[in-house]
Amino acid sequence: MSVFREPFWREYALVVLATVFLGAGVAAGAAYALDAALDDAASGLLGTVGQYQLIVHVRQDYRVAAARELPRLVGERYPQVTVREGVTVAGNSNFLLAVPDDLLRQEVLEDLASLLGEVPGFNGYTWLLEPSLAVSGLRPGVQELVAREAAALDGVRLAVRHGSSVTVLLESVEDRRPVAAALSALLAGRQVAEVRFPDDAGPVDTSELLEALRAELGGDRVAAVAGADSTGEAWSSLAAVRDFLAAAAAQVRIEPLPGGPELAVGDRLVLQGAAAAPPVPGLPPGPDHLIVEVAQRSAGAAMALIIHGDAAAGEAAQPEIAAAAAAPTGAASPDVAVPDRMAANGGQLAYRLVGGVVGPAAGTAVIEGPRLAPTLEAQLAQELEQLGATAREAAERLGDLAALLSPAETQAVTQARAERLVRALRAGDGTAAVREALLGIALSALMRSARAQAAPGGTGADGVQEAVNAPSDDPVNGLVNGPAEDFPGAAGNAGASGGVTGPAVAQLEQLRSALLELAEQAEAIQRDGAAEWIEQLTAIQRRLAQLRDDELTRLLQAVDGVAGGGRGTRLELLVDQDISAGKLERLVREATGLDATVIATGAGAVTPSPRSMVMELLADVRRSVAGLLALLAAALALLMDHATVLAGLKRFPVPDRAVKALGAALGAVLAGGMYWLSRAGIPFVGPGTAAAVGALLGLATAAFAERLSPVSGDEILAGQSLGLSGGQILREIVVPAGRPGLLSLVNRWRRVFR
Amino acid sequence: MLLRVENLHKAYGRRVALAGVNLTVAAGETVVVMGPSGCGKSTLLRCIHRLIPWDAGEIYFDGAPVGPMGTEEVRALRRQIGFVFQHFNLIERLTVLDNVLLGLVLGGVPREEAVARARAALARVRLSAEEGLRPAQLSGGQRQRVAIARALALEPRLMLWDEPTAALDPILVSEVLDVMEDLARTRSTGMLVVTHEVRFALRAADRVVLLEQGAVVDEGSPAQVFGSPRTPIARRYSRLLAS
Repeated sequence: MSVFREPFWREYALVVLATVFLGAGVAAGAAYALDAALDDAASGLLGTVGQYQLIVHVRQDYRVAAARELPRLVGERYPQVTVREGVTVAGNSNFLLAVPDDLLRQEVLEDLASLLGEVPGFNGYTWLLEPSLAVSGLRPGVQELVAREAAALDGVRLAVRHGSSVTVLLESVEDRRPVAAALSALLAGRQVAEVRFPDDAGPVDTSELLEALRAELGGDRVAAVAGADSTGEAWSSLAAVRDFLAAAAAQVRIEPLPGGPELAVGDRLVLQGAAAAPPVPGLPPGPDHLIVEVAQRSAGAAMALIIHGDAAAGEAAQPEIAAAAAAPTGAASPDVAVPDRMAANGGQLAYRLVGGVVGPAAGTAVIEGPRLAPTLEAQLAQELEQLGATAREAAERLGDLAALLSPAETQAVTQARAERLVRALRAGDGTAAVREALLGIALSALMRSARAQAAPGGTGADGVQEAVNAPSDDPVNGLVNGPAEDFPGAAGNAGASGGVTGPAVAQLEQLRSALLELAEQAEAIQRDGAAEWIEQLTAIQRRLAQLRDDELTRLLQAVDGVAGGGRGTRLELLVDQDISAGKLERLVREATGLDATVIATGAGAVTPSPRSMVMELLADVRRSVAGLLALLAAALALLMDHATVLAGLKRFPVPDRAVKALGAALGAVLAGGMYWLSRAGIPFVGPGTAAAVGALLGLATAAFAERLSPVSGDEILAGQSLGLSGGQILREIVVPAGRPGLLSLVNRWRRVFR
Repeated sequence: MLLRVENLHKAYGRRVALAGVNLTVAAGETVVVMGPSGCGKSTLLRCIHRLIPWDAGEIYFDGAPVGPMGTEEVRALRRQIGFVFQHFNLIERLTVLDNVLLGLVLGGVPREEAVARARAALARVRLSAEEGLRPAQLSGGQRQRVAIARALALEPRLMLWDEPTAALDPILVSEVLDVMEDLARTRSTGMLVVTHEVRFALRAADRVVLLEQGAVVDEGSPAQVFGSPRTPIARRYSRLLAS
């Protein structure tokens, strides 16, 4: 080990040091040269600071068209803005826009950006506002908040919203730090929590909810984000549109065949629809066949939407509809009911659609849809007419009853009226409630009359009493269902006695007047007030009638796609980061009683301007290049200079462990020193890691030294036999025979035998 | 006694190279060591030169034990004991003169004196005209003579020769042997020669030592060893002489 005490090693150490500086210089110099070249390229791409304010990216294929259209589009609105074509990078052609200072306003810039979608091949844009900051990763509601807050800060000239970011144009470079600090403080420790309410929750009082959350969590820890209402309104509007479309679209109710497999959501089936013949298993469906897709299941049945065809097409398959449409208006047909929904076909077989071919029958289908029903006008008019007729008839019967009980009526008239009243009541015309009421009134009047008659020995009470004492517990039913001759007789007797006056008759008269008024109002509605809204509703129905069922289904699916399936109200909150989504969800549910869900995401991050990002990227490249060059230089030095020395040492009486340790130390010093001095910065590789890499390289160099740089053992032996020291042998024999490196160059000047 | 080897033992792992060798060389004496390959002859020389350590025994040079010597003492020892290798071991990048000067200059001899001594040594081996050539430009015999001159230039008290003609073509052997015989005759330097050249031993040796399996099996004057061979190896060498 005495070999390490010789002067040769002092020089060797100096050579190692010089190698470190030289290698660091080479690495840093090359990196800076690259940096300068890239910087020029960046300036060529982005222009000098302040020269341009916007880069428009266009797909390369559309460069020519964009070069023509972009200046035109921009010039039409803002002729002061100039456009210059930049370089093409990574398949994108770039156009630089210079916006004059007097146009640097938020509304102008956002409007300018809105024009860009018309540019052929448009593929995005980048703001080059300087000096600026950007806040990125913002949710729509938070974006609005940040833009508003940023614009109000000192040192901020304007804030432009774009995508999910806000670019803040500063008054001066000096404002960058305080504005960044203010924006960071706004976002720091915050997160955006999106509260989603169930589809069927209906409108939610978000202000009340917000108050409840603030009371629970603290007022400054929760803030509603501006624009949440509009978001909620948009969802509500979409939900309303969806409901309207769903109501208008024909739906198919399918009952599975007994013993057959259940239908699942997504199953497709074929119906005859307007086709002349039903689907044939084994063959593809015909053009007029209806194809439906199961959308939901309930109570064993499946509800499907029509995805091909139109249930309202063709009259042959819907005979009942044609008959109802032909029914005369103004008179209620006693045989055909006019419901708001009409069943067509009365149930037809539904066949599975498997692989584009009709499969086995899977169930019976009934098509329901408002467009199948008679026109609204006819239906409504019919119903109003019926209401009026019912009311009028009820009024007539009450008149009969009142006259029946009136002393002025003669016996014959009274009897005739009573008989007619009973027949009509028994026939059940008019509504059941009116009928029951009339019977009740008649009974009460007769009973009072009978009591009056019975008191001073009047007659006729027995008949009434018998009716009252009929086996049925319900006296009204008993009277209705009892012998017809009893009622007129009792009523006539009661009337002939002249004892029925006063409250009973007055009540009947009041009821009669009310019914007459009801009839007149129904006629008035039918005549006047309904005309306008009937016309509007009819117009809507007619428009819907122009859409096929499959088109309505596609619209439904499109709305669902836009709404993301969510149909309920949504609310965005800006909350402290330490409030978990779970806790917030629990509080919302407690406050609203609704099964809401909460999704939390980061509030956003302050990022440097695009130019700064480009410069930072270039700096990263420079540091990475320097790092790689430093490591390469260290490896070269080990190979060219030090492998020879290590191989020579292995011929001396030096333990192999010591030689390897020296190699590792050399590698660590060379690599770590070069890396650190050149200000290198490979991602995830610090100077320590570089030194470790160098140590490994040095260890490998020592292990394979004799292969990397063979030395002559005979010459070393000769030197030893001549009484030379280890250092003399290294200087005069080993190093001169090694590779031409820095050590060899320096040694040339130090050795005795040149 | 210039050199005394006492009970020297050296093993390479389990293989015994020297098994208690005893040997002496007086000043000016020429001792030839002979024996079959692998019997320990080269190991003996390298131990004497402190090029390799040994396991047991001791070596004395001019009465001083060699084993305990430090680095500088060993370097000084080596300057007193010249070594001629089988494969010459010349420094290829240096000229003939520089090869001879190497030990002198780096050993602290002033340049002028070193050059004079080097040239004198080259003259003794009849290579004065080749002093500017490089080893690659020389024949094997010439290269070995340069090696001899390099060792002689140090003016050693003892010369160790490790089969100096083994790597030479037969027609070149004689020029080296002639130099060696000439040196032996002058008796200026003790010589311990390891060789298979029986005739050289017969002509130049004062004593012949026969080694076999790391041990001395016979020793005596050439006439004794080869004239009245007592061991099988002596008889083999004797037959070589007769052929």
